[in-house]
Amino acid sequence: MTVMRESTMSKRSKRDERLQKLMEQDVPARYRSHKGRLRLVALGVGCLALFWAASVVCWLLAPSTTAMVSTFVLCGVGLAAGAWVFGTLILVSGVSGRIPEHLLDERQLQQRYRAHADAHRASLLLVFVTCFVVLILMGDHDHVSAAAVVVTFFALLASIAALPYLIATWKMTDPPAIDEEP
Amino acid sequence: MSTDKENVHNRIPMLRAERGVSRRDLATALGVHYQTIGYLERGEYSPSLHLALRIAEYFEVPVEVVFSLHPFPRLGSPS
Repeated sequence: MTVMRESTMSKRSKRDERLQKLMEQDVPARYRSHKGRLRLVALGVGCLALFWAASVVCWLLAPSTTAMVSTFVLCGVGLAAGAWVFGTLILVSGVSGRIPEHLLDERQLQQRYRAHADAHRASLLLVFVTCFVVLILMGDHDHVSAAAVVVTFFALLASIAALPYLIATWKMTDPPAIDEEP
Repeated sequence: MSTDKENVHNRIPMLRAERGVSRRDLATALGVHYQTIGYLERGEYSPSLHLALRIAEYFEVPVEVVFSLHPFPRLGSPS
């Protein structure tokens, strides 16, 4: 039992050390300026727009081969580009929910809570607007394609997951460098 | 990040330069991220009372020597 606990603790501390090292990394030079970060946020929004575009295609054309092919292409491109963009967003914003609280200092915690609070408000609005639009679309269609509902749900989920990072990166001020002298 | 209204002025850059302490060293000693020291120095973040006291303790000066609600007079100015 004691051996198991020690092994869990050492695993945990190794993970903590790895995360600490990741957090200590300097923000890449191109994202140190507001313009660079806005460009990254725009890329992130662009990736999410691909999922929403796939959802629109499904609502308008599904079930059809055109809808299937375009949905796969749009979601595939969105996933491939999104993986890189959101990885960078997490690194730049530093508000990842995967980092345990005990590894963050008071400013980082405040930044994380603020980003998640803002994202929560934006998510509520997004869910409300999506439900409203879906209800209208369901009224207009005799048959609703399951693909349309699934892709819309996926786009909504991806947007809600990405919002904290997008908002935190958009609102953050230029990070100070390690050796920058005031 | 603090607004202008609740801005707390500090002498961290001066104390750091005087004692030859790098931003990274200070951050490590206080157990905070180096960017937090940068944001503090720029006046873009106001520390908690606990952090303010720890910074003062690190430099071995009273807390009012490091932090003030009013801008610190420039060196050589009459007041």
